[in-house]
Amino acid sequence: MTQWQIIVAGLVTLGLYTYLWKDNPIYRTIEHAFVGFYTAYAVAMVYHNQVKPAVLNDLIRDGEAIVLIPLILGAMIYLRYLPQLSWVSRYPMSFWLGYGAGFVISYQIQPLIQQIRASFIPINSVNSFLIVVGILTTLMYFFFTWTVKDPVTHYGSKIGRYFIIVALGATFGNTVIFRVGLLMGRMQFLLFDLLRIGN
Amino acid sequence: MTFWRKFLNMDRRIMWGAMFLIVAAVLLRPIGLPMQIGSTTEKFYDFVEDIPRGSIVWVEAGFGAGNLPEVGPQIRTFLIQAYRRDLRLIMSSTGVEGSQLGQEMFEDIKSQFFPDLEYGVDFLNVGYRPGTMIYARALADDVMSATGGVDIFGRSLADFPLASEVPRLHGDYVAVLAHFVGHDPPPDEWFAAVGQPGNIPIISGTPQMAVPQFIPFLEAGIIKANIPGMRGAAEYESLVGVLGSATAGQDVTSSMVLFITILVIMANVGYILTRKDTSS
Amino acid sequence: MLVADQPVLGIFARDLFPAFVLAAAVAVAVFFMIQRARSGASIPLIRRLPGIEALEEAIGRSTEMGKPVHYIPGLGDIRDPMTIASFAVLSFVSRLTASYDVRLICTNRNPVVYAIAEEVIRQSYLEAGRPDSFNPDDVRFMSDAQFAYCANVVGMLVRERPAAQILYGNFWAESMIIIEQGALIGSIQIGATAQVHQMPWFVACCDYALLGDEMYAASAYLSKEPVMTGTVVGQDIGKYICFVLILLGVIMSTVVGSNDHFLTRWLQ
Repeated sequence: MTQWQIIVAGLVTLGLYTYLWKDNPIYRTIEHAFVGFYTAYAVAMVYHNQVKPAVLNDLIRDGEAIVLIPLILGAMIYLRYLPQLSWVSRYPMSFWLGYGAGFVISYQIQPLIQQIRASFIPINSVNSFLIVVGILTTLMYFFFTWTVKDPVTHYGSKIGRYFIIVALGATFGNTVIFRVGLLMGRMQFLLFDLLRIGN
Repeated sequence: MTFWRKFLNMDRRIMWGAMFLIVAAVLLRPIGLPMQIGSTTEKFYDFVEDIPRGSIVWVEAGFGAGNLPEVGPQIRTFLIQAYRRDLRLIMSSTGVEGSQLGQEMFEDIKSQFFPDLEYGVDFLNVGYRPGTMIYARALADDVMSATGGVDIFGRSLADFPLASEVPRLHGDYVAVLAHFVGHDPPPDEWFAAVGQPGNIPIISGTPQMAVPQFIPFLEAGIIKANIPGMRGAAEYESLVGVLGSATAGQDVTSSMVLFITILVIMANVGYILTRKDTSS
Repeated sequence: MLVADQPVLGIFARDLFPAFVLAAAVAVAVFFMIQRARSGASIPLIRRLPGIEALEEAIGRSTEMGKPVHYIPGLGDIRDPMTIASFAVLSFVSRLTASYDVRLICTNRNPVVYAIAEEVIRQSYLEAGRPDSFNPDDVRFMSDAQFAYCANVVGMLVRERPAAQILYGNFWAESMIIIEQGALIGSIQIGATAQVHQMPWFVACCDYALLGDEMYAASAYLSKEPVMTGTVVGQDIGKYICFVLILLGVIMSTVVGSNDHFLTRWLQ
């Protein structure tokens, strides 16, 4: 980055941090500018990387008429802004919903099978015992229809709940470290690149 | 009990100020705490070392600026290790920012370490494409068709020798898929869309936050190796012998974790003591 | 071993056979349970989900305070099951806000989810008999970028000060910042996600939290419709199958002394 780019980036970071004191016009200005810049960037990226190659290369140069189908479907979404034709926009949306649900089913089951297979752990230590008990009781916690109050299911799901709490505690710790990483990355930039102190 | 009540009602700006001061102080005056290399990072390093020289690795750089402090050093060090082993890399991105950030990293390590690297021969960036996993699936069928036949700069892929060697994302052409994504799409989806049908092993680098999500995938063999967060990045830098921002950040992470742990313990003690006080 | 590239009869990949069996078993169970529920035959009941019961309380509070309700259908895209589950709850929430005549603000990160969310809310207002109360400007596309979206939502929370905030879907690192801001302005907060690394924040900072599979069961719990309820019961049968498979696998592995046995090979 050039020196001017570093100064702009540094001022924007500091401007966003002013929010920690309280909401103020500097933060609001940067917030709105950020949203605007990013939207423009994303539009440009999608246009140059997706729309332009599809239309110029595939459709016009190579004559692949099949590209017209997604183009028309995409254009149909914009009809929602015309009250009399807004019903047309429901068709591409139905397509999206159907695609979403179908995609999940086709691509989620195989990894699940892999994970079931990885759970076949021989119980030969305290660790392996805890892993197996953790898996089974956590699964029990997520049975929604098992309402019979027999001791196995009752205490099983209770134990599962404790395993979930422990797992959430571990996840909490990981997330805290992630946040520290974010703060540190910005501080490195502010101290070393912007202010040129240390390093 | 006045102290505990005051502590629990402390203005959070005091805490934020303390955090800024600790991070700045430790960055400027590193403590130099010792670091042990974890087995998962070592496995990642060994995995890359075992890839035959000259092979092509597909790099998914689906991370964003928010993950840069953690995933940035991971991918940067990976590029250095890969080029030391004469690997050739093709980069794609399912995240808008990742393609540009990845390109900048390549330019950076090229100017610093490998001036002879040539774009299109040793490295190719096919840029960002929307559609996440449907795009990944399309890459498994036909790279030219999925990318529209152009790279990140809009130049024809047919002009680059590296592109002609990978007609589709399959184990016959690509040795490994290196997955550097903030959190989404997770590697199990890449595994189902590309890894398993194409017989391509997947290795990954993740932010610390996503580690619990990735551990089951590692255990199940869906990913073969993983660099976990900032700490993993620091370990990886140490293994490759290139000390960077992750190594510099290790002292900060340790100091901040200690500070936050003290706060959590004090808050819980304060909560218990003031609760008793209130009930009595 | 035959791989996915050499399918039997051109459609069946042999190494995906166990996945096919599991998917088929769950599909049959769901179909069977839906049919039973439709015909009025008894099917197992779904257990209580306090987080869902709190939705009405949160919207009621907003009505009393005369402040809006803020709903986020997550940051995931349309292929995300959490997003799909969120639409059912959004439909329920928007019907309530329509009937209580309280303002509902729905902020979105994904453009396709935004379009569908708007349709869902519009439909709910129509069903509640208040189509004129629907304000399209309150369904907002903020930004496709995670932290630009987050900055915009935080700013909106400070300005609009909703009395209730419902986060239902797939969330990433921005969730804590949004929940923290919600807590600062005194919103009652209900969070639901199956994203493992965000669950701790939901548990720690929200007034009610639905974790993992609970968020998928919620839509059935809310609607009490036979199709939805039958689906959840059928899915539970899928979980029982997984439970039994794991239990059998562990027993066999323990007896054999390693995980090299028939069941592992079958699932290979």
